[in-house]
Amino acid sequence: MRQQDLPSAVRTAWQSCAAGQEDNTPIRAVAQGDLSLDHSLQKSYLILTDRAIYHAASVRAGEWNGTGRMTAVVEDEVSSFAVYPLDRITDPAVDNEVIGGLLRFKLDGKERAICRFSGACMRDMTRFHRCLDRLLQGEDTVAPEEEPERCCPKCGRPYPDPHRAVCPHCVEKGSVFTRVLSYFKPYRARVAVMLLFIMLSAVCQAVLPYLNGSLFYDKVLGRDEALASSLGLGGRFGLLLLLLTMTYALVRVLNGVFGIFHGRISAYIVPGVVRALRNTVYEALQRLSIGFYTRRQTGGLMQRVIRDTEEVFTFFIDVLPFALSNILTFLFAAVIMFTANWKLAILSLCLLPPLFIAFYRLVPMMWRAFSARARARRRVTSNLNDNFVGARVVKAFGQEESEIARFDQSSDSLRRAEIQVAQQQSINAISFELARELPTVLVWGVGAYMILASGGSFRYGELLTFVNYLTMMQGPMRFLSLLFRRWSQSMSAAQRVFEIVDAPAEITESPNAVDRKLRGEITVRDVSFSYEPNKPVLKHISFHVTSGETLGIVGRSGAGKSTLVNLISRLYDVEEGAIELDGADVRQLSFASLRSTVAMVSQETYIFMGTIAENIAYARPDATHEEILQAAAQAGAHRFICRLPDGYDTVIGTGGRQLSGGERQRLSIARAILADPDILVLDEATASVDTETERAIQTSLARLSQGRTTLSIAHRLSTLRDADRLIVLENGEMVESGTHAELLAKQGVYYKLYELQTKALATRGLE
Amino acid sequence: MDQYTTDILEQEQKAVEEMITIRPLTPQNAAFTGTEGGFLAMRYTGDDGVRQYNRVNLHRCFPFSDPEHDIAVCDPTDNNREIGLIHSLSDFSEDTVRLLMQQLELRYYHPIIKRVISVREEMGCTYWDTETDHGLCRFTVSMGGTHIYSIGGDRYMIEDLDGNRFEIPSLGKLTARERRLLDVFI
Ligand SMILES: Nc1ncnc2c1ncn2[C@@H]1O[C@H](COP(=O)(O)OP(=O)(O)O)[C@@H](O)[C@H]1O
Ligand SMILES: [Mg+2]
Repeated sequence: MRQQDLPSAVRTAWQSCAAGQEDNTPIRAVAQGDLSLDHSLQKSYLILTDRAIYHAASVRAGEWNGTGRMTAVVEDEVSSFAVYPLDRITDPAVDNEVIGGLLRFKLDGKERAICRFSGACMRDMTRFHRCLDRLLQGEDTVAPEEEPERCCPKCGRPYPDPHRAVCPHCVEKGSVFTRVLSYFKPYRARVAVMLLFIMLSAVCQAVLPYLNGSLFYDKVLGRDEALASSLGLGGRFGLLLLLLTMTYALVRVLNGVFGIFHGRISAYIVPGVVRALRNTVYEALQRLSIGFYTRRQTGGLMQRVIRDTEEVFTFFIDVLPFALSNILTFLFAAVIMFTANWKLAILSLCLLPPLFIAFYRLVPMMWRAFSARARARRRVTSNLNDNFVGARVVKAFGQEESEIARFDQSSDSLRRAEIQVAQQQSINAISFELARELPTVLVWGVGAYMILASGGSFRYGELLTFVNYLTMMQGPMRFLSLLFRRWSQSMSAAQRVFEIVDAPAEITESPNAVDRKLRGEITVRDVSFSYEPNKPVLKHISFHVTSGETLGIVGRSGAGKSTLVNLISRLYDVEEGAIELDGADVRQLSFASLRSTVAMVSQETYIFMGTIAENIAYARPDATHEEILQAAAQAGAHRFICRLPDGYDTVIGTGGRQLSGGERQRLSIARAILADPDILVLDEATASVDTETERAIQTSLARLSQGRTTLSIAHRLSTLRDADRLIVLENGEMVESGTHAELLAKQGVYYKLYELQTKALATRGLE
Repeated sequence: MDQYTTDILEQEQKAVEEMITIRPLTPQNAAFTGTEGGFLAMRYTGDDGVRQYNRVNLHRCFPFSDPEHDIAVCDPTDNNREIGLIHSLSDFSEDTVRLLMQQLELRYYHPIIKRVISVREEMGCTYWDTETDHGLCRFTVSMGGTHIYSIGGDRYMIEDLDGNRFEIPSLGKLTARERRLLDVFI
C-alpha cells in the first residue's frame, strides 16, 4: 500500500489523532491488514511516523475481493486509533502463519500481537516491518518504498504472476491475434494465394447443390426448352444431361484440386512460422535470469512452450482457413437461396439459430465428459505405474490386497466416467440429429405446399436445391459455433507464449556497463537477500577478499552459503547492500567481463548433450586437445575418461553411458579449470567424490588457486584447512571470521563444528 | 580427550536425544496461560526440570485429519524447536482448551466456503466468488499446478494467488448448480 492510497477519511482521522499526540513527524510507512485478531474479515490501517505506530480498524466487516483491498467501503469509518510510541517498542517481527501472518512486537518488554493479515497483505506488511525495524535501530533515512502495482488497474484483479503485469482478464485478445499474424508476414504472397484457393473451393462447393437440384430436376428432367435453346441444344435433352453431368464432375474435380493446392501451401508455411515463434521463445528463455526458472519448474515451462506454440498454430492452420471457407460457403448459399425464393430462404434461416445453440451448448458438455474420462484414465495409469515401480515395497509390506482395493477404486471411477461419456454421446447424437432433421422436414413441408399452391412457378428441383443448401449450411454452423471457444483458447496459449517472450530479465546489464579486466578482489558490503518476502536468507553480510586469497565459507546446510556465492556471480541481485569486484559494483560490470572473471563449480553439476571434450571446453570452445587433457588431469578426471572406450569423444547419455555423481563433478571442475577465471567459486565441488580423489583434486586446486581468488564451500572442514581465511554463516548471518587457527583459538561456532567433525565423529568411527 | 571435547560430545548427544524423542505434555507437567498481548505462555514442570516459556507456538500434527489431537508446542525463540506434544486437547481443563484453540485458530485460520456464487475461467486463471463463514470472498486461483486439492474424501482445499486457503468441507453437500460450476476444476 502506498501512502496516497490511504483513504482520506482515515488520513483525516489520523491527523487529528497525531495532533493530539503532538506528533508532527512525517509518515514513514503505511500498511493494511485485512483480518482482525479474532479472524473476522476486517480492514485495518497501520501508520508509522518517527514517533509512533498508529493502528485503526475499520468498524465495518469487510469482504475479501482477492486483491488485498477489500471492496471499498464508502466512507472508511475508523474507530479510534491505538497509539504505540516507538520508544516503548522493541523486537518487531512478522510471523508467517498458514494463511498470511501476524505483526507483533514487544511493548514495554511484553510481547504483543498487533495486526493479523492474509497472504494478500504479506508484502505490504513485510515492508512496513522492515521500515519499523530500521527506524528503531536509529537509521534516519527510511525512504518510503514503492511497491509495484500487483493488481490490474482496470479490473482490480490480482496479476497471476506478481512479477508480470499481465491481467488475463483484461488482455486484449485482438492485439495478441495481430501479433501472431505478424509471424505470417514473410509469407504474405503465399497466404494470399492460399486464401484465393480457399475462396475458389468455397465457390465450387456452393455451386454443386444448384447443379444437381434446380438444373437437373427442373431444367433437364423437367425438359425446360428455354435453357436448352439458349445453349443451342433445342430439344436434345440427352446431350444437355451429359453436359450437366460433365460440369458437375468438373466442379468436383476442381474443388479437389484447389484443396490440394491449399494443403500444399499451408504445409509450406506452417513449419516455418512455428519455428520462428519457437526460436523467439527460446532466445527469450536464454535471456531470462535464474529466478525465472526457479519460480516455475523448468520442465513445466518447456512443456508449456512446446504445447502452447502448437496450440496457437493449430488454430491458425486448422481452424482459421476453414472458418473462412465456411463463412464463404455460408454466404454463397444464403445469396443463392434468397435469389431463388426469398420466402423459403427466410424460413430456412430462421431455423438455423436453434441448431447453432444446440452445438454451442452440447459440444462443451461433451468435452467436459471427455476430459473427466481422460483424468480417470490418468489416475488408473498412475496407479498401475505406482505399483510397477513400487512393486518391491508393496510386496515387502504385504499390501497386495489393499493395493487391489485402491486400484478397484480408481478403475471404478473410470467406469463411471465412461458411462458419462457414453450417455453424453448418445444425448448429443440424438439432439444433433433432431436439430438437423426438424428444420429440413419443415422446409420440405412448406416447400411442397408452395409447389402445390404456386401452380408451376416453384418447382420440385428448386425445393431440392433449397434443402441441399440448408444441409450444406449445417456444417459451417457447427464449425462456427465452436470457433469462438477455440479462438479464445488459442489466444490464451499465444498470450502465455508472449508472456515468456516479453518477460523482463530481472538481471539486466546496465546500459553503461563497463568492460574491464579484473584482478579478483571481492568486497561484500552489508548484503541482505531473500528469495521470498519475510524469509531473509542473508542478513547484513560484509567481508573483503583480496586478490589471490582463498576464502572458505562454512555453515550448516541451509545457512545461505550457495546463495551468497550466487550473488557474487550475479545469478541474483542483492536486495540491500552491494557486491564489488575490484571496487566496481557487479551491477555496473558487463556480463562478458563478469562471466569471464567468475567461474563456478556448483553443487548441481550440469552436463550438456555432447562429448566429454565439448563439455570440458564449454566456456572455451577453441581450447586445444592438450589444454583439455591438462584440465581434466588437474580435476582428477583424466583417468576415468581414458578408461571409457570412446575416451574424450564419449557422447554422454548415449549407449547407456551415464556418469556417476562424482564423475560429473570432476567434469565440471575441469570445465572451470579450463575457463581459467580470476575468481573460482567452488560450491561443495567435491562433495560426492571419494576421499582419495578429493585429496588429489584439492592438491591441484591448491596449485590452481595460486594467484587467483577462490571462494570455497565445503562440508568437510578438513577441505578448507588451507584457506587463507574462513567465514562462518549461521542462519544467514556471518557469525565468525578469521583464519583456521584464529577460529580454533576463539573456541566458538567453528571450533565446535571442527571438534565435532574431527575428534568426536572419529571416536565413533563415523569419519 | 580434553574436557571441552567431552562437553561438546555430551551436548551433541543431548541434542540428538532431543531430536529423536517426543516429550508428552499433560495437565500434570504443563500449565498454559494467556498473555496480555494475545499470546500463550507455558510453564513446564517435568522430571527434567522446570521451565517458563513466555510465548509458545502450537502446531497441529494432523491439521486436516485430526485437528484436536497431537499438537506440538514449540519455542519460537529457539527456531521453533518442539518442547513437547499434547496428545489430546480434551485432557486439559475447559479454560485451557479454549486458550489453546484460540492460539490454534491464530495459526490455522482459513475461511470455509459456504456457497459458491460463481467461478469463471479465463486464460489459465479461475476467478471465484464465494460466500464463506467469515463473509464474502473473491479470489483468483492459478490453474497451473495443483492449487485445488483433496484433503481427504470430498473435502477440498483451494489455494489462491496470495497463498490464502479456502476450504470446501464437502463437495457432496454443495447444490447441483455449484457442483456443476466446480466440475471442470475438481
Ligand atoms: N530458489 C530458491 N527459492 C527459495 N528459497 C531458496 C531458494 N534457494 C535456496 N532457498 C532457501 O534459502 C536458504 C539457503 O539456501 P542455500 O544458500 O542453498 O544454503 P546452503 O548452500 O548453505 O546449504 C535455504 O533455507 C533454502 O531453502
Ligand atoms: Mg549449498
